[in-house]
Amino acid sequence: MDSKRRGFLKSAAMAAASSMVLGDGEFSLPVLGAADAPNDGDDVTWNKAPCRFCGTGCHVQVGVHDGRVVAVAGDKAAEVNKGLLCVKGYHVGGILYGADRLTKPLLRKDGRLVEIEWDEAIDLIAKRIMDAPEKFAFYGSGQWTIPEGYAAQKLMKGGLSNNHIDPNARLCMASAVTGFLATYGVDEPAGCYDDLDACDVLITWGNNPAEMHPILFSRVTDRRSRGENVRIIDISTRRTRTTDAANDYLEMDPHGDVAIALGIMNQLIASGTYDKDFVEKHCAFRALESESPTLQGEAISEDEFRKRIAAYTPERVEELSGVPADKIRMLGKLFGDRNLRITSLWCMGMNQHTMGTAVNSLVHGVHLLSGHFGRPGDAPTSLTGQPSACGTVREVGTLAHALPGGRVVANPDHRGQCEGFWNLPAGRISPTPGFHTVKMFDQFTKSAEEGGDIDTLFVQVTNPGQTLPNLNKLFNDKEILKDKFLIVSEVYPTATTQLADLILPAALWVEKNGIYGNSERRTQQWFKMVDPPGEARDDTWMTIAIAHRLLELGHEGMKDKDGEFIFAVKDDQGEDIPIWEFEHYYDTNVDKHLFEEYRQFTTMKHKNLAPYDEYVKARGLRWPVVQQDDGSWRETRFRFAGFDDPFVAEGEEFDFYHSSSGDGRAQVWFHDYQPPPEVPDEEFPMWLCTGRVLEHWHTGTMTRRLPQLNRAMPTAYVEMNLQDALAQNIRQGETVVIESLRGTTQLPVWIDGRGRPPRGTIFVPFFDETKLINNCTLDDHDPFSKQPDYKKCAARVRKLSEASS
Amino acid sequence: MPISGLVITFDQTFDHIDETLSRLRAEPAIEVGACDRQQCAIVVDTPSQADDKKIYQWVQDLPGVAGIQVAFVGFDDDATPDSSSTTDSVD
Repeated sequence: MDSKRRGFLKSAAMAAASSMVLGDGEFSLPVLGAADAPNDGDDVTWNKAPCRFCGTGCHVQVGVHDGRVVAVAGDKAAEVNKGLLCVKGYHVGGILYGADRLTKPLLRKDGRLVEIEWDEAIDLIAKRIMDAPEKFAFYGSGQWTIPEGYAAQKLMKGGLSNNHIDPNARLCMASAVTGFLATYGVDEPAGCYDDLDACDVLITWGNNPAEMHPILFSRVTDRRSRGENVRIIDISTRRTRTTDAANDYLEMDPHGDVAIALGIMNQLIASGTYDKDFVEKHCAFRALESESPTLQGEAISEDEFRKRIAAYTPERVEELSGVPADKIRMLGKLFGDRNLRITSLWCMGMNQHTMGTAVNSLVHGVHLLSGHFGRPGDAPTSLTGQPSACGTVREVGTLAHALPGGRVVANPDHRGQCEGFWNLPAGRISPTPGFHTVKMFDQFTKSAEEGGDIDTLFVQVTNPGQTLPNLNKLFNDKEILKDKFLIVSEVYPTATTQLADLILPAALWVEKNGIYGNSERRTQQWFKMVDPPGEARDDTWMTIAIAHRLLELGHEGMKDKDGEFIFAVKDDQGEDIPIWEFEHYYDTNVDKHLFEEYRQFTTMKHKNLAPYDEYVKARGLRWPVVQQDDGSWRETRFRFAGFDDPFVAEGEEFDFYHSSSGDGRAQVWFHDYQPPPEVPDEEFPMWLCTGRVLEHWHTGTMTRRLPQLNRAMPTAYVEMNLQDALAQNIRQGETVVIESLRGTTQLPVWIDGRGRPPRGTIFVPFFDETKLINNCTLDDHDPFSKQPDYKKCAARVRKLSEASS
Repeated sequence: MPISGLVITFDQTFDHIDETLSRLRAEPAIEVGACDRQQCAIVVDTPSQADDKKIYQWVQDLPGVAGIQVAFVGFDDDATPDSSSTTDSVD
């Protein structure tokens, strides 16, 4: 590094650190205007981008010199993070520069990967699809940008009449979606991060934001450091760093959250402290049908609800959840106090759950019944783990049953609307939902003779070879099935590319234009800042290039009803810009074209988006974004609340305008507790829970290539309780074998380490591709969301010597 | 050749912050910036990742240091791969 640039970076480092010390007195995280962002120097230019990692949606300032990202700083103009970043965010720029970036398309021939040209790769994919379009599936991601997901969605559902498209977000937040739909008739949180700045009580439900969403958690702990009184109640199956900051720790048995939510509602009804006025005006009651239950359920009377909830006394809840009855009463009392503002946070703990839809609905119900809803600080809020699980999956609808803008393939009106927006002939979109993730991989890893009717699978921006549950059933069998063809677009070699037949090198993060949508409905845009290495290319381009090759091969679905290519982009003279040729891809802003087309879909469910250029100016905007009389665009912080939501009629306090009962009411659900599908027994006596750690993001393909993070957390481990370890004569650091009915893996033991599991429980993070804990996890899933339960299954720990004998 | 902007948070019960600041100022790899009774901005400029880690640990162990937040990272050096995945490509 030359001394001039070094000097510049030192100045920038000092400015960033000093701004945090000298931040205004009101909020000790720095709150500075856009003018305070790093200024372009002689040789470093700065631009904004959302962080590539989790669903928080922090903005970073990216410093580029000579075509290379050389520095990253927290973006002081960003409301989400106010200049701060977590340890992963500060190193995000380094993810581009791992030495083993994939730079050429690779085709497996006779067991070895051979470099091929892009043209051959695109041709090969198009021909496989052309041969059997119904046997093709597309597996995507909550890390897809909005245009990437939208292009994939249009290719599959609008072009190929094939609904076999699903994202990894099915494994991550599908139960949150079904919980919102069941309760409000429309997906995604009503509140936003501002609730964290206003709540008196924060309840974390099976959630560890201190490690998984540290910037959000710091908004709460920072308030405390300024002398504000914020009570944190951590409900969890093990002690974590969030517990360390909590006032109360309620240790529950796995699946106990369902009973706890029921117990709180029991107490609100029994003590008469529920919010009668709010319930009378804005709520209805609902339960599953006794036969053939549906996501919408059936209406029940308040009396019927009272009768059913009466069974969940604190004592019964203690039996089911392990949480003492007096603590259930304490929670009931808190929710019965309307002077408090209560925010609930959850993420994978409630979503990766065979009762995921139920527990999500129940926690919404606790807030609705108690009236802790819709005032700043009163919110039931689910967080996402990926940067665009909301934007690309939930809003663009890249799920097997969905269409853009909250539509579903099974609804003929919705199909007709989409065919209209896409200018397709009527009937082009198939009414039959495609395969959800577990089913998709089950069909792909089963031979054709056994009914495995997916033979070509295209994976973009995700790593199912590490993240799928029960890998021996859902992924590893692919290796012996020679008639199956796995295509993987990736930036680095991964557990998935190890079984790939064709690997496509992908551009990453600021090597391409992008748009994400974060956990608080905030849509965020960025521009390409550096070139990808070698021949790595944009995922959107890959999808469009495949579509165009299909057009050349004569696939009629690649034309709209006027005979135009479905991804056609015209220049000012009305001529096609050949964006399917990579050398012309950046002749125009393809993201902008796709986004403007997608924007038409967003008004039906009142998820209105502003024009692309508004997002260029902003650090994201929270939908619905509506235009004001003066031409400006206004975002919405609190949905359904009259004081902020533009779609609530003037004078109304609340309106749940997508109510499934059609009367503006939200649904307070009753669900009976059901035990988990697998519980420890004599042979497998431990509960196994899996999850993440602060230093690594998901499967570690990016963070494990950052030396600073990899040194801090170099290997996965199994957390054990000291007494369990002593009982088996297991020492700290000893390598043990974790076994379940489905598979095994070996891990070093960390006794009472960062997380402290109770007796009979072990925890393993899933970031380490050399220690695949998903060999052991369960593929049982929620009946509505189809999301598997990674948080509880039966396992055993054996000493290496015992296992090998 | 890492450059980091860090913010040190002091333990509010610690009475000798000035002594800790003197020790920070005496360390050649550290430049001390804006400080108050609660926090202090520093820049760490070291020749290697290993030295950077050592300095970070040294700062963390200084009397009165309650915590360190990272405010900026310059990383104009080559990262080394640590993954075990291999893609056995051949020409």
